[in-house]
Amino acid sequence: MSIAYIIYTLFALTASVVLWAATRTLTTRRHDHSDCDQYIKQLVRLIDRDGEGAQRINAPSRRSHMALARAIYTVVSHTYGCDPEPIRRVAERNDLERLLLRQIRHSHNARRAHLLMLLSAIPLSSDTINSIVPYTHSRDHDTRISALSVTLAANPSMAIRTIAALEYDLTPFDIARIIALLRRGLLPIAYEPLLANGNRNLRMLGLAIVRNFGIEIAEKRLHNIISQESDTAIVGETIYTLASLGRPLGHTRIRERLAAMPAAQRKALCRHLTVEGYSLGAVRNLFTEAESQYAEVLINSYKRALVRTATR
Amino acid sequence: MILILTLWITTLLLLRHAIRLTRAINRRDLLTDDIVGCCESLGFVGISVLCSRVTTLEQIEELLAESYDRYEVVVVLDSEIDEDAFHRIVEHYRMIRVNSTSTHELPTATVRALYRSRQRSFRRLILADRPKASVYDDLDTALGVASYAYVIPISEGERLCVRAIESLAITLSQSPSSCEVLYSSSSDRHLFHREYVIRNGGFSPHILRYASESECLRTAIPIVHTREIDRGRKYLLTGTILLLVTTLLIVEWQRFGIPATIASASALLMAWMTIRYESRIVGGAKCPIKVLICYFRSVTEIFSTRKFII
Repeated sequence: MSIAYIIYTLFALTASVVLWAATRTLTTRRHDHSDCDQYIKQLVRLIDRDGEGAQRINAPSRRSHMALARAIYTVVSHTYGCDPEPIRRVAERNDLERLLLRQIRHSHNARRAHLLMLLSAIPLSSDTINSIVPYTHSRDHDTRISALSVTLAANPSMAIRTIAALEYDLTPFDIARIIALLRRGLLPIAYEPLLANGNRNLRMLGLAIVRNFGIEIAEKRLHNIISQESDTAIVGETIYTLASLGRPLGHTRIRERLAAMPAAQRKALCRHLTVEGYSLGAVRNLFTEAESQYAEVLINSYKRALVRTATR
Repeated sequence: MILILTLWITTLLLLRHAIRLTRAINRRDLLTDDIVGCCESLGFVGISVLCSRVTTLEQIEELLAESYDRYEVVVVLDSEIDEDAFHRIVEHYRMIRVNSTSTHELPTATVRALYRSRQRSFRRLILADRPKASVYDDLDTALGVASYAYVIPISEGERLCVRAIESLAITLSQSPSSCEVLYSSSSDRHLFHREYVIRNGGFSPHILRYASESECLRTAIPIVHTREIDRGRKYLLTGTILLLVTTLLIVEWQRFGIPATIASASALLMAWMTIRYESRIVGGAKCPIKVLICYFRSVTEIFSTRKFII
């Protein structure tokens, strides 16, 4: 019994020390943020001066290396069409690629996914890209998607082929992450081949592009998808995309598709249309009398009450 | 002996809870902090926060500070009883009265008047005026006017944790099937699908009974925290805990000797370090006692039927 006491005591004391250290680390993280802010300022200045002074950005310790990697990621993800050359020079000078790769190998799950995201902002060599490819088949979803982001950012010309080859369905959040790459100007905003492609992931990405960039000229293609697509999830997504573009939804084919939807989905769409600002006439065109009455109440709740009741 | 074993197992479970929370928070930080500009209308997931008895502008301001775009705050108040607070909110947010007719989804969802802000920056705020009733009736009213599919009930003094709405939207958009109820174990709070609430006759303490395991998602991501804990209650709880701990250690020393007492004291130290760490990592909930209360509430749920209490 005394051995059990000793083992438990040692375990509890060790855990206490670890927890105390972890609590302390939470406080010191703030210092990392201030380091990161400094690097962000330096990087912005560097980009402004077309890469002059890259040699002045130095990360002397392991912690400052991480702060620099985070700063690069922040700057790159907030900049459209950022010139990769100054970033490459800073990364090479501080050996960030090798350091991040080593840490990726030794970490797991969320941390690995986080490091992969940081790596996606750095221009990479072909050897590094090859060593990232196995992570695109990882069992951890976040790691898989972060690795996909790295490969897409490194090889934009192969983006469609890479996404088409995926063996799993991308979630809306995964697609949003790919859209973030598009916003950086890393991938082409070519929605047409995506919408025309039979692959589910590519179609979903195409719809997200249309929605995010407000491409109204894609309306005809969206109508084609509604008419021809057999996957009800894609049809639903296409109708929502049309709604977010504020386009008319009164076409016969859309009405037919809506009639085939389950009641709960119809109600959800009805609510969505009222939030998006569709008029009662437009809603009446699509839904049954009872559903339209429900929508009428919602739409009226956005209008100023001109007649006051006796209660107030 | 059973008491010692219970203490040891409880502290170990507390440690496991902290590990899960750390993982969830690391993942939250990865998904919401690192990925710039991704969290907009994820899969058209919209979340409405339903507030009952929220009267302070400060709390409303904090609730409105969320950056997720498909999000709104519905505040329910009685303009006759909370007259000052009501007029303060109407004036501060320049709210105008809008048409309000019941959708007849819930019989208790009665509205005397409905207000929306005319300022673009506060379009997310809806104020519903209804005669004072139970918290559940207030929540039903808020649900009746909410625009989005998912709702989180919030009460007086509660705040949303950092990036809570974005994290929830990500979790919901990533779930393969439709989620009726989402439970956050770290803040002991539920998020509901509005159709689930309507189907089960509105909010009540028994609303959680109707959710099957397959319809209920669990997450360790913290959703809400209460900023202040009543000082008197805090001292009372701390005193009670210290008294219990001291009694336990004395009894143990007398019956089992010094090694067992040291082991239990180490377990208690570990438990204290765990809740201190948890209170720091959650952010905002600085009080370890609150973390302990939340933890014990979630533990007691194992032994009794879950109740929705706000």
